[in-house]
Amino acid sequence: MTTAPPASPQAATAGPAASRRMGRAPLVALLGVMLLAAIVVSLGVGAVQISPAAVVGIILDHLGIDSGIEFTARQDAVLWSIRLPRVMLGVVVGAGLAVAGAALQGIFRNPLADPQLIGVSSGAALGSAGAIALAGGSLGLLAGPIGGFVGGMAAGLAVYALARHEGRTEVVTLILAGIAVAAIGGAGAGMLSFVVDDPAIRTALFWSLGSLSVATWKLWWVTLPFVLAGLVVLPMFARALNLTLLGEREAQHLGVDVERVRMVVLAVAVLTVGATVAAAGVIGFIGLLVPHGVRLAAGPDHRVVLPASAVGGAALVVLADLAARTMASPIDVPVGLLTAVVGGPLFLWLLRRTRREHGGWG
Amino acid sequence: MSSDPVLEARDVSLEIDGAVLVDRADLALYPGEVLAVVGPNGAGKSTLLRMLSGEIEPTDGRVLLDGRSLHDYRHAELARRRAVLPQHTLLQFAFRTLDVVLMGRYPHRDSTPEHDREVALRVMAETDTLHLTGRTYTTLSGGEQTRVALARVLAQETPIVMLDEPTGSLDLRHQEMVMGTLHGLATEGVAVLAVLHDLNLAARYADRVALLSRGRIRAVAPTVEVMQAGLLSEVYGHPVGVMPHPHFDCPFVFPLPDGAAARCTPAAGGER
Amino acid sequence: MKRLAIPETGNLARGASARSPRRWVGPIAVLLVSALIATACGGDDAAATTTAAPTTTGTGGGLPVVYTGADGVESTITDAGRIVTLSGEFTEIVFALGLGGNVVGVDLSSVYPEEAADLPKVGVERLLLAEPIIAQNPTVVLGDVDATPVEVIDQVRQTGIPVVIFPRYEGVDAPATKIREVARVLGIPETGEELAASVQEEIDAVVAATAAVEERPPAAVVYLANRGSTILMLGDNTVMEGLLEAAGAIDVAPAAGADGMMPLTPEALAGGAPDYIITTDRGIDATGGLEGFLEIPGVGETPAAAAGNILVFEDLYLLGLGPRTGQLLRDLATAFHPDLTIP
Repeated sequence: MTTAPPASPQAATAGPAASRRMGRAPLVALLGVMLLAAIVVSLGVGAVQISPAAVVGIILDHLGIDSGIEFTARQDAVLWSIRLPRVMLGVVVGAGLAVAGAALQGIFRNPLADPQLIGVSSGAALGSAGAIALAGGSLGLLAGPIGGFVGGMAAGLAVYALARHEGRTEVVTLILAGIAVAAIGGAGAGMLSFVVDDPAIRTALFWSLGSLSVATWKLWWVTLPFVLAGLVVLPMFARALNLTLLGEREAQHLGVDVERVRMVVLAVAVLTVGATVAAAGVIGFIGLLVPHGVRLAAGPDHRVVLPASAVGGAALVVLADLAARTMASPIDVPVGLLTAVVGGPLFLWLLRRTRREHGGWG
Repeated sequence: MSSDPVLEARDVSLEIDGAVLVDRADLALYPGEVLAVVGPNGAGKSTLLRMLSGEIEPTDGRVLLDGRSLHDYRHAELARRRAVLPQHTLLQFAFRTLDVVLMGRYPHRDSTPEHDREVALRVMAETDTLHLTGRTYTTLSGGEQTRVALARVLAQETPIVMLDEPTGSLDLRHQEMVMGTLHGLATEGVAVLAVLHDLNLAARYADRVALLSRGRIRAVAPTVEVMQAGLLSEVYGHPVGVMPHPHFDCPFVFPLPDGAAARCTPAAGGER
Repeated sequence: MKRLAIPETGNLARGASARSPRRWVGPIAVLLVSALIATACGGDDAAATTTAAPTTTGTGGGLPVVYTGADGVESTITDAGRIVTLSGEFTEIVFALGLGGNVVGVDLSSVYPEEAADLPKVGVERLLLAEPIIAQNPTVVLGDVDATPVEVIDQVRQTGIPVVIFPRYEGVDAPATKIREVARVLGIPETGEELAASVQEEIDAVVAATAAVEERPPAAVVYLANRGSTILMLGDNTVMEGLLEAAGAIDVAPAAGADGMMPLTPEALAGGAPDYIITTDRGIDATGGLEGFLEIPGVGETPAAAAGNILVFEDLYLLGLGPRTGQLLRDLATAFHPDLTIP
């Protein structure tokens, strides 16, 4: 029984050699540290000057601890009512988008299945805007995430139905259908903002490129349960998703009800994405790049990819938003613009790199 | 062999777009035996296996597992009763080999991770893949991948194992190893059904043989009875000779010259 | 409690606007605003104002003031010493009221008067961020209903800064009304009344002079915010409402069925056959000069283009509805009716 790992010329091109991969605990811990650092830095930076000590002092004060650090009422208001909700919303939006993206990639058996690329995000935007227009009065802030779910599901199911052919999901059709659905959704949301004169419907720019500037604690509390649903439920399907990657037929033989898993995962992922879109517009590439990066470091096992993506996504959005609100101050650069500008080329580079491997394009 | 079949196809047919792929097949599989399904290309062997495994629903007839219609089983239940090794393994994601084998343990919800690992390592030893545990599946050769897939199927620890061309891309040594493993399973009481295209492997390892031709079962019987020159020649559309194996107490099958050119010419005394 | 009540100065904000590369502002603003329906004004410096403005410094005697804005929110203004404006029109009015020295932050569209251009920028009207506004430590913030997102306005209010949101005023009475309301908020109602009266006088003079005119040429206002944004015709329910009539012309937009801002269609423009086309210099820049402007489908075919009657004004001057509107009407009336004498 020899266990020496033999060197193989193919190993270098097919993702990390199994022996070189990061385990779940170290990776999540590393990403967690990054997230914490991102939060801390983000809380300390802004047009209103608040020293790191003051940040700590204010937070402790709100937790009921008298730290002896001095700060002004204005600093308190800015940190607690403006900066902290914005950063916390970034955490929740980033985690939701990344974990949903990873899950969608699992059920579509395709690493390109990003919520934005397959049109789910834009469908959610249209649904959200529509729900706010129709039911904003009665449902209040809940109209957004609920509408986002409905719109996102409509988009997701449409794309899914179009891309399925003889039991397989065709990549090209998936992307093409996604582009079309995204165009319809985006145009619809934009048109609603154009036609309906209600600030709650937001602007076309908000829907298409996202922004965390409207973050309030209330909005965060409304968004949190939907994203938590995703963070809790989706990892429960990790093993089933792994088996689906083995092959639909093989997964079926092993006892996975592939259709049911697909529908449930799709619904939960869309629920999560819908809420993030309702809160912050369409922010692209998070659901695509973070899971991809995690897979490069740790392999395709969903038991690692799902939780690690959540933490990584949160860190990435917090950092992106930090840049978005400071790089062109006093203008609020839409965070989705930033993720696209950086994410787009990065994605192209990744495409080129992984094209040489035959792995990953089921 | 016990008297009740664990798996039964009763008058099973499959028709698609007017073409009859399987025509009224009757087949029974018993515990503790190796049943080889053989026949020329396009005879419907894979199709039959897919109906027996529950992957395709027959357009006519029924498949019974332990006396119950396959249709009535939930996926998870079925996964604990039968394991399937398909002909082509499509895994294109860079999973660790050990993780691929461990996937076979999924139906056993009550099992502990330690026990799962034990089972996985044991079946990997049986398939000579233990040295590949740390490797990425996509970097393995075709033969290694087949053996790992087999290990996954074995790890499922089911009373019925169905395999579609398990020896396809294997070298001689590994072919023997796999068939030996299957035979070993049968002696432990597992019902093994294997689609084979190598008649001699069937001859040496199968207890019974089902011979298919153009979607119809021409014969289902103990090996010796099916391995008849006349029958085989007719079904395969090429002259076939059968003689007692020089070393084993099994038939030995070989193609006969048909007038086509070949490097070796018929020896003196050879008969058609 | 360890909280101090002393507000700190907005060092970081000044530093930030000085540090942040100016070059980002242009391309990003162009990109963003082109996706919006902008009534934000901006442009080059233009004709000098002629309305005499009484100068007062410091906080007005009319404070404190309790004022309910267009969003229904009641604000209490106790001090007008540090004013932030979120739109160029308010900047102009505050300066005209003599409180220009109190302005500590303006939006990107505030380029008149010249002094305003050098003041720290706190945002773009529709893409506001709370912190840059707060960082200037204002005692009152002035904006209108286009100051969005509304959550940002709330955030500013939460730090104790009153934000007054004015409605969109339209019509020939708008300049005077705006001036009066802004003056009220800032605690200088008498000054406001003086300025408003003088501005209204100018406007009334033009209206009276053109009232008797029988031949009113058709005219159209063509607006374009940036290269790539939708080209609009402005009619009723926009800032141009009533202005063309006051200057002795007929606005072709309402006749073409437009209610408010209407995307320009060649048919609408051709159907109206305006003898004059009015636009802003920003719009001319966006189309790459007058030749480019004339190439807009429908524009080149109008009688206005044939006669060369394209009237170009600075954005804020044309659309601001503020202290210089009387002057604007005079300019328009003189263009439409060269023989008319206006007292």
